Amino acid sequence: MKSNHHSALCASHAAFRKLCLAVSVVLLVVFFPHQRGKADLQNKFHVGEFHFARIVFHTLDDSRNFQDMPPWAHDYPRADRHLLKILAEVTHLRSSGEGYQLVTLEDDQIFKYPWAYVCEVGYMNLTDKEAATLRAYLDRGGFVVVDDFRGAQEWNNFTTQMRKVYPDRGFEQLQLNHPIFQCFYNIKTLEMVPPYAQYLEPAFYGMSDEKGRLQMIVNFNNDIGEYWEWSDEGWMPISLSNEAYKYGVNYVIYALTH
Amino acid sequence: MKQVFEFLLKFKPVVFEQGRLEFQNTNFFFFAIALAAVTFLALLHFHIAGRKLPSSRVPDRRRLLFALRLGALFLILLMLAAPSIVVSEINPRENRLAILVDHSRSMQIQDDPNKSRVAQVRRLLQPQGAFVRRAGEKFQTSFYRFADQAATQDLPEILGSPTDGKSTNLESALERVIQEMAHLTLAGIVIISDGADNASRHLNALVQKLRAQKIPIHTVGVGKERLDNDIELLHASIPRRLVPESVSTALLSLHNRGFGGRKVRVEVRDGEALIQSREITLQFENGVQTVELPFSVSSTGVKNLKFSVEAPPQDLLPQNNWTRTVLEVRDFQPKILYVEGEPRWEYKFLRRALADDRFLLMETLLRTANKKFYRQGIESEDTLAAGFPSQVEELFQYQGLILGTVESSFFTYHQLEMIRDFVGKRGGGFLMAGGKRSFGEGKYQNTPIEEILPIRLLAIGTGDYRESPVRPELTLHARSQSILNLAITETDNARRWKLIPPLEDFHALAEIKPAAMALANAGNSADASVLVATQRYGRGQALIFASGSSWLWRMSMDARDTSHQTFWRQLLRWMVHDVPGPISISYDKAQYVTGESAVVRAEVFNRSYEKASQTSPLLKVTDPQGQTHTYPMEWSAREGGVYSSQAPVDAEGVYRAEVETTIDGQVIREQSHFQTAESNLEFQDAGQHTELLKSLSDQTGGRYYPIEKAGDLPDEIIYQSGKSSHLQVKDLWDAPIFYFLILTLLAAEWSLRRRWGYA
Repeated sequence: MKSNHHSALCASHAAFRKLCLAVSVVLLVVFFPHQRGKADLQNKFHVGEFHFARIVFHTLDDSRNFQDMPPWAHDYPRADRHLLKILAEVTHLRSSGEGYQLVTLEDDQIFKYPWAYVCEVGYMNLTDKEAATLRAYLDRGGFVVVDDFRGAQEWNNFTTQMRKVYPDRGFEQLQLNHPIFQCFYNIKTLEMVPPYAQYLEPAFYGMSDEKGRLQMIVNFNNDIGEYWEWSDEGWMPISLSNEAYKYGVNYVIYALTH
Repeated sequence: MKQVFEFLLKFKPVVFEQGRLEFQNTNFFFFAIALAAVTFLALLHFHIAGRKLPSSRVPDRRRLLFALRLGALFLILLMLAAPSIVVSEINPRENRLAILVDHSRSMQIQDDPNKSRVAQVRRLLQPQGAFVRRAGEKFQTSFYRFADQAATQDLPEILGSPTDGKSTNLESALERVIQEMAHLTLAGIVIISDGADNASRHLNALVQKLRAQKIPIHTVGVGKERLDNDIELLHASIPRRLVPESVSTALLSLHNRGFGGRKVRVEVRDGEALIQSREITLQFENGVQTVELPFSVSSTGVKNLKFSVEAPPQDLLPQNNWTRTVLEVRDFQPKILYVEGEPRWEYKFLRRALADDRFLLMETLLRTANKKFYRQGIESEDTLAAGFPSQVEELFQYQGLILGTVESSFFTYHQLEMIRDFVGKRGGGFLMAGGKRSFGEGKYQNTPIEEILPIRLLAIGTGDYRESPVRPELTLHARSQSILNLAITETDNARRWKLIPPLEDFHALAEIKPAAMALANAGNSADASVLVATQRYGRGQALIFASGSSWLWRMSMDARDTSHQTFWRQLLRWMVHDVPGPISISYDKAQYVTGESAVVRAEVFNRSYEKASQTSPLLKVTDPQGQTHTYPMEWSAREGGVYSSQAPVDAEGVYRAEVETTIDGQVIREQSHFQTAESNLEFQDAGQHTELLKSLSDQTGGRYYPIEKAGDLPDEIIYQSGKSSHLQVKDLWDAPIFYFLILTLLAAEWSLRRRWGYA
């Protein structure tokens, strides 16, 4: 009996251990990006270098089940790292591949990074604090690249969020002759094919301040960062990856010069 | 003392000063008798003394008695030699004496508690007074009243006319006298003045002319050399030209006598409008101190600024508590070239700080990749198309140059030399900003750029770039200058600098050059690195800002805060505010009074800023009524490229001077302003200028008298040679001094003999 009881206990312990292991695996899978994000929230700032800052934001409730990552983390960190490496390669910009940084809108760290990338804004749900920080960031001269969202619903959510930041500021569609498309590479066309959902028509929008200075560029119906992320895997055509990098390089150079 | 001298020697000291000693009996016979007498007396003395004085002290006593007798004998022999003074003395009433009386405003000053300077002069020149009467006995006197000009007048007219001259021009007065007396026997000129000459230009040359003509100038000094209880604003130093809304600091030099520790206000006004004022404490009981008064002028135009210091009730001369100066505020839009070696945030935010500045233009050349440049703010597509200028003319069209984080090897050696000449020769403003390719990291050691920099670089291979948080700390120099001012008032400025976030990088630049000025340090430790510094280099100004992270000020502070923008605008405006153009205009005086001529000097350069000596500039002067007069300018043979001309100024107000010429087929012109206005020149440095008066007398063989002793002047100045003079032999043998000395010596000898029992 004793041994049976012992065996039963051992079995139950083993089952419990398996359960714990499974739960741990699930938790790790589900929350890994968050854990990783927390680690990357630690400041890696070097004043003489360019950093790829990715904005972490609060999301809508129904966005939690988006694959295994929160929306703001899509393509992170491969897209960020790859763009930094390309920048270091083709420009005189001082940058290392490790200069990517997660920033929230809930503290002042973001103000050390005047160039920031934000994606999946269709699921963005800014708190008042986040909206105020983003507004201050843009007012002081920060530049934001918005990427990886599509469709009317996501657009509506994005513009709703932006009204929290600037109630009276809208977006205008940017044309090819805008300096942001010509400041480093002379981009020939704005018909940048999206990596997926190619039935949607991509467009570039901009938001400017009261003096006409561009503060934000929006890659609507597109996901330029996706090209950056997979550019080393051969999943995307090289020519399109190259084009995607041209946009990315120009966005950075433009922000650094305007 | 003088009377005792005259009693003993019969004549005034001046007779001995001007004359020469002679002996009337100088033949051989006289000297032979004299020698024989001395020898006989000596032998007799030793014979008698040798017999009568056996004691041990005999030799000393014998020598003393002998010396006394010998002294007396010597004096008698001297009298027998008939000493006399031979002195040249002018013939009475045959010579002219010009008496010039100062009638400028400074003669109104009452530095004697009982009477003003002019009252002292009137007392001296009473028609029945000793001075006038005795002068009239010796000379034919001519009286002149002078201030900015001289005029002949009768004495009563002079005594009755007001002392209201706006300036004192001794040169003009002396010239008038020389001209009028050219054909007369002028024995001398007497100047009765406080010596506060403020309008002469070539006085020394005229004095040498008088010296050559042997016309002595005798001067009578009026007034105290040093005034008590007076605060004087000596000078207000400001730039001649400013762009609107920039903060500048006026440096006011105050001379305070007797008000040490007193608090007073200093202020600056444009017309009636108060621009700025502040309270200061007078530091010394008697000394000069410099006071800073930051101010800003927002509107364009020519400003006639009045700086003043409050006069306490006991201030003897409130008239010298202010000064005026012309300031030209205009949108001259100096152009700055900013060269940056890599895309970075400092570039973006510096451009942003100047983006909507109406008064500064900035063209930028950014190296975005290898041999790839991005140009912004350029005038045309051709501007900087080939990169950094390789021709002097192209670079020298800018007024300012900023080098960002760009290594020295980016430039050719010729370009580095051009940059040095841009500052030293062209007079441009230069700034090197910090970064990973700046200063020592950029290997600027031993290059022409190192000469310009106000700091010494560390040795090659010693990295000077530090990535570490550091607070900018203003130095005392910065507090006295407006270069780093973020606000007008001292309190606001200090408060705003306290709010400035730390920088995140700096260069270890500890050693500042001797002529340079550190404005801010990286931290406040004793060995803190220099963060902001400046120095003059040749005709230009060089600055450093040894950090590349001022952009953090913009990103870390509230969007409405303008500190970052103000910092850069102020620094760069200061850097280029006074950069000379191809024509530099200057004047011989800070301000003029009506009736004077302004000497306008122009330095002319060609497009390469070589001095242009083969041109013919014209000076166009527009008076306050708007009338323009044109004058040709003469080339100065002494200095290449320098031309000058004189323009009479007859009206009060601001004059515009424009110099125009043609260089390399291109017409260039420059304008500037000067003023004639209500003047307090006469009350500046208002003590008696004794040194000047003495110098005039000494150089021409005349004499200086304080006015209290001027009564002797008519009797003393007759001893001089001239066209109508004769030699006088004045016997001295019967001077009481001889009898007095002989009696004294003999009496002493006799009394000693009595005491020693030999009589």
